[in-house]
Amino acid sequence: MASSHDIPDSTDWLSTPLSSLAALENALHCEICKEFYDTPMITSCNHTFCSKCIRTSLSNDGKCPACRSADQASKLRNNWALQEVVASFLAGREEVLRVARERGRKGKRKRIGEDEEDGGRVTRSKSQRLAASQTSQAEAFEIEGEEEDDGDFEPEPVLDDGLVECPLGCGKRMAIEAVEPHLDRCEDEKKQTSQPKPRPINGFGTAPKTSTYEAPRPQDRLSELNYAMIKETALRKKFTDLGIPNWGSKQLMVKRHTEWVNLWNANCDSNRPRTTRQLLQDLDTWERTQGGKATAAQGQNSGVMRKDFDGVGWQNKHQDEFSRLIAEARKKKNTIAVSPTKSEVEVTAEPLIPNDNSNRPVEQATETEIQQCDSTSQSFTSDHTPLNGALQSSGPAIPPTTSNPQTVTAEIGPALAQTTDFTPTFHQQFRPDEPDELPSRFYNDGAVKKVPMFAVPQQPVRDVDENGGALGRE
Amino acid sequence: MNSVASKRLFQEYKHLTTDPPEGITAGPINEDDLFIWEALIQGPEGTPYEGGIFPAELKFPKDYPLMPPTMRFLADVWHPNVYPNGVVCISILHPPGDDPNHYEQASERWSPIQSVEKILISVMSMIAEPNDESPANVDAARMWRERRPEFDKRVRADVRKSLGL
Repeated sequence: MASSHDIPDSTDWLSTPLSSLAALENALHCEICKEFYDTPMITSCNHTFCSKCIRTSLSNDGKCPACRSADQASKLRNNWALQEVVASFLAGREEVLRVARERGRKGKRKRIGEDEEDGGRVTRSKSQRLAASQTSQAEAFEIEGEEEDDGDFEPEPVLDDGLVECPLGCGKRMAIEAVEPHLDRCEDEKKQTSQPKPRPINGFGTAPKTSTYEAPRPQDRLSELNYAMIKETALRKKFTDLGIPNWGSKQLMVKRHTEWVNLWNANCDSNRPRTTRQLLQDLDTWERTQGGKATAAQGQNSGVMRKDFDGVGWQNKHQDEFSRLIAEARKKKNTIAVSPTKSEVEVTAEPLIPNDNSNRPVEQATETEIQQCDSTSQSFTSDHTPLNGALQSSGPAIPPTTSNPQTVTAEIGPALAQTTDFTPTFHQQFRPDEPDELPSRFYNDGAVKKVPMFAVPQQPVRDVDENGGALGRE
Repeated sequence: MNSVASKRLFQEYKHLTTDPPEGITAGPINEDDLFIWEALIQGPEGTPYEGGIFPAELKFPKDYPLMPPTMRFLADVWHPNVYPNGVVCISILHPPGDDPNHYEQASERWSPIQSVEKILISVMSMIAEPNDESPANVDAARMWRERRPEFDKRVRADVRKSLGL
């Protein structure tokens, strides 16, 4: 194959001499998903869409997307003929495209009339194939694949393209030099008719089994519930019976049920039904893109309120943002800290002794000093034993002077965050975000009675989500 | 993770890239996020907008194509059907079943069979032929209706300004 095309598109033809096949291909596309029809269904108003597409659309507004007349999903009927056309077109598409591209490069054929013949020939091959499919599936596939391949260059006598027909009678035409290799392939293909060809990824089933349309399997379709009447608990139980997730609000569950019903019924329409497991995977994709899990991926609500929120991951991801905020806050703090009187600065410095002090191990802090320090550092030293080491390692990076306590806090913060849990991180970021008047009240409290200082580092542990959320949104 | 919406948006993107309609360019700003597109629309010939290039932003909802995208011009566009903040008011962008102004036929509104290409072509023809029945920019609509020469002059001035002339 010249190249593999993950997303077949009608514009693929435009660069080839067969540009009018683009129109044919467009006609085989569902108007809703703009891909090849997958289990096409006819509406009461005689429009055709993929089963899943039209079901989703109808459950959204109950109208045909093409003409806006009211319709119901239960009135949809399979368009088996169209399905066959699509399957046979797809079977040959890749090869026709390859040949067309080669032709395009050689610049041999320029006549437009020929393209039209090709478009017509697809129809003819379909009817041949349809006739054949009633006799034997295997043969049907053989003819289907082969006929389609020929679609564009099986010649009318008019064409003096120097091609010869396959001597084995598969009907294919090729350059003389290509006959030899083709003979082997032609034989092989006859033997391995049961082996389906690879074809473009489009969610469409493989062709060999498409002709089972005489007997659509009798699978029970689901019906939508009267959601207004059913109670939430009954709905959850129903979901358990159906084997689909039953978490979330009632509104979300209704949406999920609608999606599931559409997935399920579209699968019932298909002549190549997929397993329930695959359907559940589809439902999960829906959940992540449009359902209950979709909001977590979106910018506004980052999911910080959720219990399993990954605080560390969040912190790493937004490290830049956080450090920028810290830097800004520090700058602001500096400008404010310069103005107050000296006594105020001293008051400010005292409660920060914990940081100051925990920094001291480097400077050989004495036992009394540690006792002097308030509860913050005690809780650190007792609860987080690895902390001291971390602080020591971070110690040298910190200037020994503590004239600006805020700087020290901020610089210790990252070291704590890496070695311990979320608490210090919070501590680090929380302070710069505090309104300016808060520190003085906060510190004064610390100077008078030490109990409230307990609360500051510990509370966030229980409330990581909430506080993280506040930060994330800012 | 490929949702219905992103698959279709990718399909439309490919189609618009290989076979763009005249005077229109459109595609996702960042290929990682197919839900935000930027479009460039040429001012239609024979109108005061001629010669101008109008950048616009399209935002797609997660349930696209059931619901339409929103479109906002990123430059100043003085036009009866463009809000002063750039949001385009055109029937094809209005969700089905919701007619805020009661001026439009249901058939004119959004339906999943529409596409980005059709939206942009509609917007182009809207630029050429304003609809002053339900104006988004009342001042522009009044000027268009009552003082056409002034309207044309203002639009041309905007176009020149946007081109940096």
